[in-house]
Amino acid sequence: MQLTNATAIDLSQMLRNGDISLEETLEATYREIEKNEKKINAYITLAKEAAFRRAKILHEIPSEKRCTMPLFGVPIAVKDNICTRRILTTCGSKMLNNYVPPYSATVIERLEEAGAIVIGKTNMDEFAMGNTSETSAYGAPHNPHNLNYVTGGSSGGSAATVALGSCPIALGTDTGGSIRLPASYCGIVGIKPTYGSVSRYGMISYASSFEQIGPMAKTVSDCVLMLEVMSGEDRWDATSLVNKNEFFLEFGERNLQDMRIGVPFDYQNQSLQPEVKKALEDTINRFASENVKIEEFSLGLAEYAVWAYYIIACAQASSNLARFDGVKYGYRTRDEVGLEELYRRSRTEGFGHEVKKRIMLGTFVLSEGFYEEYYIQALKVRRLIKEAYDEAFRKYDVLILPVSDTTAPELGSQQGVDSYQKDVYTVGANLAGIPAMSVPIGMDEKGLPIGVQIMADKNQEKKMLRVAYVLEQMRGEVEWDNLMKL
Amino acid sequence: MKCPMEKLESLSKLELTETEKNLLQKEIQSLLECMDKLGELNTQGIQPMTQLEETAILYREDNEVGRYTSEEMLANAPAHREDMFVVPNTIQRGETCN
Repeated sequence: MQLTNATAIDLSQMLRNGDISLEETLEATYREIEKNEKKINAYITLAKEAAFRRAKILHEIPSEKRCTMPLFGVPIAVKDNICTRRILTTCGSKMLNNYVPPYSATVIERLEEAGAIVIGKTNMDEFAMGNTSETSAYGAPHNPHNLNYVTGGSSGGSAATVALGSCPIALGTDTGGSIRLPASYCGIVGIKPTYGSVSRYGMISYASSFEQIGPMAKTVSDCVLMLEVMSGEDRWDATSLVNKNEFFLEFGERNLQDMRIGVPFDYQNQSLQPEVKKALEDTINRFASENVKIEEFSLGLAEYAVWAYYIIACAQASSNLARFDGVKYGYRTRDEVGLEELYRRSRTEGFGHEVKKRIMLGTFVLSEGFYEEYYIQALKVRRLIKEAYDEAFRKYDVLILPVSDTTAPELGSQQGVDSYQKDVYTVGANLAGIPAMSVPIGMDEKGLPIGVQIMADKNQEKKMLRVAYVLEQMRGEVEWDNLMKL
Repeated sequence: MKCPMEKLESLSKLELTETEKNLLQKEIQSLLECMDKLGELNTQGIQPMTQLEETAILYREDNEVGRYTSEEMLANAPAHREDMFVVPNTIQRGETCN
């Protein structure tokens, strides 16, 4: 049975109808994954036993109940910083190379209640710190469109498996672009929802005031289905929103003539790769030709957003990662040392280079004598950036802009400060807490995917999704040049 | 302004080799120079944004909800004895309180 390109919506219908069995679906999924896994390295753990056990449980569910389970039997890949009970959860780090959570994240419980089956944990940048997935302690995943190129990060493994079609849907997390960037580089849809709309309980924290769990899939509708299932208040996450967002739209709505779309030109000061620039311009022109109101404007503060983001993110990381000390869980040094030394050595041996860098940077910006100049200043700039977005959304319903200035870079090519600058288009949504997504719109000469980013105001996912659906329909089916030629 | 690496190491509870320390110092220094850019902005009178304040904090009842057993909580412990996590002595032999 050919599972590739089956959407979650179609698959769950077939499973509920009994057209295919739960076991057949799982067997086909694992076959597809294992066919290419040595080349792609999308997974850290394949949870076969747990998945087939779950299938047995789902068997017992009567058909009247199955009708209420919109993801019945659908395999889902989960980024490895989201806790899954009794399934190894490593955060892409040596620090948690033996950590088996005693609980599942709220999103996992909700997805499983809707019938989804967790089939494995996907590769990622260590503790979500990175935008290429190369900081993983388990080796970088490879882009299925060209194995010499990155998947993007930090949700690289999730993007790769969905792009390949070996798993229909996946979870990622987005702190500064970590769903949108890999989605763009791998040619799939990825959504970072409004901050607070999806519970963070069970997501291992990196930067608590930025991050959200979000869906990654081949289609906008599959992402919407996942959001409907996952989102809503959760008493275990004090920052979760009380009023549940409604995401579902009327399908087939083509008319965007009541919408006003803004394109922030000052976020394109960096030289865009020509094909990326052309893809964006083509999109704008298509909207304009259908009489949609679309215009360029200045959002402002473009050159400050990345640095405000990194100051605050590193500060939060230094606090969130203080819990890893070799005492109650995680890696402990083998050396026979005193308590203080135990903390230091366990952390030094357990964490990778990038994680240590961000912890130290975060410690610095929070330290006496520098706190006002860096951390407080960054928080003030955060407010200015939020106000800039508020101002933009008084004039426009959605914003359209690039996800990245280029398509996927080559493995090993991203170094130093330049690699941080790659986040310039994505961090704004995290700073402001607004929803943003990437939709694939084409590819470059090398066959590498190009995504376009759509942003909306807080709790206005419906507007963002309306534009995304239309874009998807306008674009039609994409014949990726190189996918599956592995 | 050079980054005080020894102090940061101590506060971060890390123990770096000389090579690691030198490399990290260079990298952190470069990043701080970029971050200094924020100083260009006039933020007088602007309140720091400590959280996305329109999000009201969701409270719950302060009730005990027994969810996990001791066995489950100790299952990931690097070392444990009965229901206790085992750690090295906090005071080493030969140390006094003087």
